[in-house]
Amino acid sequence: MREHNPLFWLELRVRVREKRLWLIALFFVGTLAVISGVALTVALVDNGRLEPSAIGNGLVWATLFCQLGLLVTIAPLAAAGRLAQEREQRTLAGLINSPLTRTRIAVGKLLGAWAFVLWLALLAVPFLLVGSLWGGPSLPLVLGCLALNILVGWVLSAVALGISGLFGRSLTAYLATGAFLFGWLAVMPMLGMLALGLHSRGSALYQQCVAYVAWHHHPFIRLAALVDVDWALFGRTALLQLGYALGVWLALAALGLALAVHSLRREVY
Amino acid sequence: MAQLDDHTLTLEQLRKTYPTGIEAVRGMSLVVRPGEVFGLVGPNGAGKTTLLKLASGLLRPQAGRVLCGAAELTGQPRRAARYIGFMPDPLGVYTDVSAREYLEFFARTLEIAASERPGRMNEVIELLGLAPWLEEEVETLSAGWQRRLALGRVLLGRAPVLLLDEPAAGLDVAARSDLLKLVKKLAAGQRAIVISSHILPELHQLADRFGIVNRGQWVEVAPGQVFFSRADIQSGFGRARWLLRGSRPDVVRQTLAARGLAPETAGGDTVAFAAEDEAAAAATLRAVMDRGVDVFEFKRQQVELTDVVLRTLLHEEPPPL
Repeated sequence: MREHNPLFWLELRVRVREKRLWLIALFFVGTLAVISGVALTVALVDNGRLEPSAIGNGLVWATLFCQLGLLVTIAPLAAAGRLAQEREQRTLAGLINSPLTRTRIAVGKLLGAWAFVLWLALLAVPFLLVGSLWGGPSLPLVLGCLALNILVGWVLSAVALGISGLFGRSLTAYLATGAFLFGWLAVMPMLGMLALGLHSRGSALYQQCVAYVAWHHHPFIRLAALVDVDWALFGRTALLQLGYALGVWLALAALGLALAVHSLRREVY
Repeated sequence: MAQLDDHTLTLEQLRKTYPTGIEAVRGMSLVVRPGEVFGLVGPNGAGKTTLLKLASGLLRPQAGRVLCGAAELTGQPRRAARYIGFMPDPLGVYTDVSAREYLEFFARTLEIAASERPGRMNEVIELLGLAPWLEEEVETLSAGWQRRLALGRVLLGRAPVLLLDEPAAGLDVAARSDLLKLVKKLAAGQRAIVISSHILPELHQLADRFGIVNRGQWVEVAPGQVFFSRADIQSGFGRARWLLRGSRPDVVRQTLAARGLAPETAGGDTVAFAAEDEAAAAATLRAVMDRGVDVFEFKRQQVELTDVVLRTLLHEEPPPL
């Protein structure tokens, strides 16, 4: 039987020792603790007039959006330098000059990044459970949103790894990843707004096209859509938009991995 | 795993031009047999590292082939890894793991079976004397120990061919001496070893055969000869130089000239000349003494690899203006 991917093994060991990753996790849990503390304080001060479901909902949605924000920022940054760093510290030759296939090298790196995303995501689970049990959204909905967040983190890790493979310096890879994130999460929605504003009398089809191109694949918009979802009316359109977003994300992840593998075909000078 | 016999490294007419247009290697060939240590010498930018990277499969040549025994390895780093252990320069090591984890990682990378891994690691640890440093982070190890660790990575695979690019760079005298002993030990184990180094006195002691590279080509050290041995160096490529210090240097010069030998001044009253063999040198000594010269000192000039390299490169390349 084939053993664990050695790159995954190495990535786990290296990441566990990275102090800054522990600090990020501490900051995340601290933020969630503050949010929970505020919710509890409000509930106590309010003297029972506030609906318990409002507190539960507030806690769950605050946690989920906070988590998505963290994952969208940290997950790609944690993966952004992984291949560029191998080139930079001249360790890539040792990997290429080994029986490992290029795909195994890239997948090992990706699995390391995914494990980190999963760990960050799971840190929020106690807060989500408390919120859900405290009259918040149903557990399946909470778990669905959590899965969406994890998926977004994984997709962004894959994209960042692919970008990382294109560069020989990790700083350049970080900058390129940041530019991609800014473009996807900030510029695309703004361009969509601009397209609608400049052509406000456009047909319904035009508006639909702009919405699909500019923001139906946006992670925060998809999460917000799930928050507001009325399950009784969760019809074809909502399913289509979610399916479209998932399709775009999976395509991005596949492209990222393919880029990472392809980048390893480059000669090591 | 490949056996340690009939794994001759053969490089055939390799050519490599980088995308920048630099012709780094221009039709170089080389054969290194098991048990042989080959010393690769040349100035910076001569093409030594490119040649080693071509041999390891990391670079794809525009022309030529790399073979280990009958196995074709040209531009196939994965396949080459089973036959060739390559220690590059500059050295890349993962700094944020311990020495033990570093070796374990590469043992996994080389797909050594889990049952075989501890034994293989212990063998390398013992050979390189790494035991006291196993739990230290690689980052905290000295340059010498980092190089040993990198060599350990290469040895884990038990490849029959080793390519070592500047293995002694940055090492102190003691560490270089240790490395010398180690490479000799490895060569005794029937490995074919190619070492590129700028530290010529050590390389002189270490290698059985040498080749000088410049501008991507082998340089001739004697007419029609590009590779040479320690014996060739000692014999001055068939014309050893002799040093003679006597009471009347002018008479010595006249005698040498009369015998068709070109006398050269070798500092002070010492006169140098080249002779075909020991008998010719002895006959010349007798002729000088017959002319009434008191001979204070007569010896064969010790020639080092450094002298050969400097002489060859100076002859090959005009000095800068």
